[in-house]
Amino acid sequence: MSGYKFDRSHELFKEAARYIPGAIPGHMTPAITVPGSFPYFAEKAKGCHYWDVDGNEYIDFLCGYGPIILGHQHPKVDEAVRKQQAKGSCFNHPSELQVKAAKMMVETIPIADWAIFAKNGSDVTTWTVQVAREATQRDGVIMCRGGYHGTHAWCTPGHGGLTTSDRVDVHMVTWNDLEDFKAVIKENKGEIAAFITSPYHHPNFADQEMPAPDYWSSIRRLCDEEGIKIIVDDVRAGFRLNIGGSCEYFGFKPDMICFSKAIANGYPLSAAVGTEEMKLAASKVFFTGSFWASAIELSAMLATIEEMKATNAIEKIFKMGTRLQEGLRALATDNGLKVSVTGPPSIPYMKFANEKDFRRMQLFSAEATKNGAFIHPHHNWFISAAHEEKDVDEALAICDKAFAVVKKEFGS
Amino acid sequence: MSKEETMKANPNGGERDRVIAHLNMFAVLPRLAELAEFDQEAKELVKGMEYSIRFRVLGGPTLLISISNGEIKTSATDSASADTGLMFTSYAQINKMFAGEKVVPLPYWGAWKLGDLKRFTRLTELLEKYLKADEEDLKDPVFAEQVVKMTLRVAVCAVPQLVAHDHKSIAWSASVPEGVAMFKVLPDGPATCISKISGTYKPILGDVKNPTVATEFKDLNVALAVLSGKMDAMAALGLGDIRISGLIPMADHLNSIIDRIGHFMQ
Repeated sequence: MSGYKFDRSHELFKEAARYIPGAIPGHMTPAITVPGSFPYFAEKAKGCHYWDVDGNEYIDFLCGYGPIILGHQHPKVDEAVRKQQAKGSCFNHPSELQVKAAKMMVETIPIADWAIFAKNGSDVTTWTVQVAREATQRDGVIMCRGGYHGTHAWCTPGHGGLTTSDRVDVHMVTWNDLEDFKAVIKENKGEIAAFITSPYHHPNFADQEMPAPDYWSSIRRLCDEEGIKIIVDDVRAGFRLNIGGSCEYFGFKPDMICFSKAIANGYPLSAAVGTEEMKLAASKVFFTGSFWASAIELSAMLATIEEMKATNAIEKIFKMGTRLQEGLRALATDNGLKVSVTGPPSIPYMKFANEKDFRRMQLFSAEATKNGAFIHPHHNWFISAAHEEKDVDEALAICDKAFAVVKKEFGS
Repeated sequence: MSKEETMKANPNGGERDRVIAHLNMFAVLPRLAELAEFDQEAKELVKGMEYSIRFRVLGGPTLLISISNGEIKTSATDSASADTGLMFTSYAQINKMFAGEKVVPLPYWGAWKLGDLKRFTRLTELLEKYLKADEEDLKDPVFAEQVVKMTLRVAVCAVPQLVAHDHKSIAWSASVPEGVAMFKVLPDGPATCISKISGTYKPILGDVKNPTVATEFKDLNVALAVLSGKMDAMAALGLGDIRISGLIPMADHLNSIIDRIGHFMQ
């Protein structure tokens, strides 16, 4: 048991509850961690480490839920931001950076013939669905059960505030199940505009599932036959599998891709890219937001992509992720425990193989976190280019002790 | 199933009336059993009373309430006979009766047995005292514990009704993982569970050893505040007033369904 205490976090949370509905709403709510054993508020971060408001230090395996890909406060990215800050950010017009950034995306992402920028993943997932509808003049959308595409009414995993009609055009299929997919398009022949999905399945509270060997080629063929557009929601995985988009890693070509999280190393930005065929439809779907043209984030994105290319960041991230995944498997075996370690090395996740209720995982993650390795119990983790071997090894040593606590409590 | 489809499947009244009637019949009235166990006046009323009454909605469900040997039992069975059988022509009509308005159902069987009926009416009034408890009464911890116990039981008994008749709950039900969800007041207060096995929901009026997910309220006051919709449950989780362990999505989705009770039973 460590000396980590969370008094200031709890104090702030109490105050937050007075002024903010739910105190910490959304994915950062302590409700989906282990309340009482996790920090609630952060103070600062550097590289692959962060400190909470009580001064506790953590090796960061969540990276802000994905945005931090080069490490917190990356000098080159932050320098680019400082330079742009000196010039301003929100103008009456887009800055030159808008053009540079779009060009950079098109040059970086093989399927992209155009790019457009917003602020959050939901902005671009919803908009690309509209573009597909405009292009096909159809209403239907297919998404995977357990998939997450943002907080808008057509796809939010929540229930509050929805109407019956919000989901009438949304059809659910099971990931990796081609027969299910075929059945849905047969049942709704000529009505489906788009299939939107992540490039591989990364639901919360579950193992991550990679596509079956023939999955993407079959989906592409079926969609081409039926005139359905493929939208890859690469918000979570984007830039962590391949700088050209996760479709390059899996070897298929979608019609549009949505990015956010990692593309600007923590600065708020999202992007959609698409093929030439989608460009005219894209130009017809109204697209704007108060801050969507601001320049600072674009400067961060340009610096992030340049740095990732120059340092071959993904290769390093994979190396560190593999070290973590293999270390966890070995330590679990040494402790007489069964785990499933899933997902690509850059976005790993682990849970205990012999339980469905996550109680072992909740204890494990609480122990690891209280001892300095921030491990989320129910959401996949993220590795950054700032993680070094010593950080991974230090985290594994903490995990070894956490495994021992689980073994003592549960026996197997 | 869409709102329109559920309406078509249940032609005997609108969705709202149908849901309210099912909640009253299968989540609220069964609480008479607990009432006869711990309320002094109720105990006196049912002492030596041998009486049964059946509520039937034309083309809809039926509920048999039997009072015997100081106990009250409820059942959806259609086979056993009753001293008094009351037929309501619609869900709206039976709901009016539940709301205390004057309605005249058709006595389709047996005699009115006015004395017993009067005592039965008093029992339902006593039930309301617990389910719509006022702040003053809740200062008594014994009374408050019974209120929490009954409210938790109303909640878990309401779930099978909501997922069968409320179009929103029907849609959300698909997201509820299978298992047993327990709601418990700490340290040793009331507990109740709802199971979902092979898609079928079943209330369990007590605790279980290894629930799939456990929602634990720090004490009676927290339970009362959450159950009466006066406390932000998400904030309470962070503050440690509520603790959820196990398969959190099960509790999360069930809570959304349970929240619907307030929409119908104001």
